[in-house]
Amino acid sequence: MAEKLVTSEGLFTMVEKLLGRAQVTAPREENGIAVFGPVNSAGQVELDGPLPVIPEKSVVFPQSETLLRMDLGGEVPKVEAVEPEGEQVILGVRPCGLQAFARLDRVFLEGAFVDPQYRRRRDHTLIIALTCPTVKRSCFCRAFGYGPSDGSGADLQLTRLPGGSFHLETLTERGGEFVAEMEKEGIAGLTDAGAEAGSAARAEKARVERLAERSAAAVSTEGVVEGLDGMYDDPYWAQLAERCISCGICTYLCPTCHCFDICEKARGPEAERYRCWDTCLFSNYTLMAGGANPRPTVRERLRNRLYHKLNFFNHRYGEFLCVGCGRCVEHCPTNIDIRKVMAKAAARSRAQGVSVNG
Amino acid sequence: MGRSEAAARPEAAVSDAGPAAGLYLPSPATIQEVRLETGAADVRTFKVTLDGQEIGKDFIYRPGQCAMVSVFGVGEVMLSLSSSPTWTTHLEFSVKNAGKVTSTMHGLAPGARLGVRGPLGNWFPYESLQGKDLLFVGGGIGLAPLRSLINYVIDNRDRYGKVEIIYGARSPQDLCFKSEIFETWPKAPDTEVFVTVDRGDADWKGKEGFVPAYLEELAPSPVGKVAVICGPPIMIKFVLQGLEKLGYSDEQVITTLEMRMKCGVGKCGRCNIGHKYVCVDGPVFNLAQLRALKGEFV
Repeated sequence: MAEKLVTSEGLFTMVEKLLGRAQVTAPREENGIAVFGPVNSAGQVELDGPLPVIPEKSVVFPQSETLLRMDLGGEVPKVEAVEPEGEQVILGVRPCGLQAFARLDRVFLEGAFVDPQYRRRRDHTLIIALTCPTVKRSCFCRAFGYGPSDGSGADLQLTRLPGGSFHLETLTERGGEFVAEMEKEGIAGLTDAGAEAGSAARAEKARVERLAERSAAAVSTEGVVEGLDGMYDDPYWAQLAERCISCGICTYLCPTCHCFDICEKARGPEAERYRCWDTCLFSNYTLMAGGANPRPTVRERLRNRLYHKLNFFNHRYGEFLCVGCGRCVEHCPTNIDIRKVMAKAAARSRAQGVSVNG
Repeated sequence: MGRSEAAARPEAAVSDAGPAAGLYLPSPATIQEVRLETGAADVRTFKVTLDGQEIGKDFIYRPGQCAMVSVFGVGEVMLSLSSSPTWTTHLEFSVKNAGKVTSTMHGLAPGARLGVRGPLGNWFPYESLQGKDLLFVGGGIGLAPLRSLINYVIDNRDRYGKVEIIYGARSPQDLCFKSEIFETWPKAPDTEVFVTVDRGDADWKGKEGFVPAYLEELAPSPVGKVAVICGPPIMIKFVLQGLEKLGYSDEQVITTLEMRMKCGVGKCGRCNIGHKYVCVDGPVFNLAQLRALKGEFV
């Protein structure tokens, strides 16, 4: 695992080089908030800001993408599948974003049906992670067994050092090739990391891990799945639903929510079938053509979303579909807090344990 | 109807065949014939061929499986295959006029082009049902998926025991597959068909009443039998109660479910019942499996 040291000017030059050959997505400011979004100049990249409100998800799973293109003018419809094109780089991915990609991989790549769009995007995306420079009060990644310095799943990992330079670790072969290319380009400010930079990076990682430990201190996953197993008909869901206004912001800001709608748009003989993000909190999500709706009220819909995150996904894939990024906690307009749902489930599990054991 | 002995036993695995040209790209298909099923004209059966594909060879399916059917420019819907895999000349979809895609379909004539993605989902356990007596209980358009298995069983008659079919609709006008329920099936060996309507009309000389009541009256014994049911939620609810009263265990009751679907391949998320997806883990479940799931169904 090669370790490099790169100055912020060096990194700026690297991003400029990247812009010439790939679509680059990075944290940047948009309308006064930090988001992950496409950048067209290195100056837009804001690596020191807080956790971006809009997550990295759209790089591999865009909010809207064309699946089929159709020409319906002739006697026989001409229909073709649309493949995503080009190379992508995502810079500054947070560890929670990496964890989220791993969850999305399970949905889109596992089993008999591999999603071709997702596969293409995933294969053509270079992932450069960033050790979180700050930790928010809403962060609870540590409850899920990883922390703000965990670069698992990235090709490269940047850690901002107190002096302003970045420690750059190569984590995969693809990451190594990228660094080799940059070295060949003769990027000023890109050098081998000495022992000092290495230990500074370790110290920085330890610092943010301690912060994250503190912010997640009251959150635990223990007993959550088991507790929810016995809580499906609990009055709690109706109480929680009274507060939910079904705005869907939790879904749209969630790095792991993967549910989508497939729609058609036709203009003259040309038509397109596309998919776009959807949320199980909307009433028409499960509304059938005949008028029946198996999830008729907010209670069933909110319960479904929380169970998908904290129970159903576990029963299907063996892990949570929540990575503790805290976005839904921070942005829910009615303060529905998934950490409290976890605590409630854990308490139920303990109560069940007591009654079972005696 | 073209029936081939060779295709009576589809052997190849289905879901692991994978998509040839893209997961969301339908195969081109053509409507060969449209048959009006109900007097109210809200159910039509579409006989469909797949362009350049042989059914039973290139498109192998089992009774109870579904497919996503596209009307290009309008959209795509999940439909159960109401034909039996023993018929190799064409597929059939029996479609109620309910939403945007199905209402457009209802306006299509022979020669019109469709797209088909599939087959998708699991199937009725037609292999483990061999040697058993079968009770089919259907309501309205709910007979469509059962019809695939009923015709499969009739085409492989010696492998299955006695067949009883209880079928009901709101009115005589609403009965689907009339030539089968009144002619083909009653003439098949060891096969009985019991038809009822909620309310008859001047010409109706048959049974009147709801399906669950007819079930209770006929009281088919659960011994050596499996019940396969499909219909509107309210019918299912009372049929399940009726079967339980008659002594059917949860393992002896099989149903096929419907949810709104978009992708059909377990990605888009909307058809879950608990942690199972109706599109890939279903649509066929036995009652014991359903009771073990958290979720909203029937």
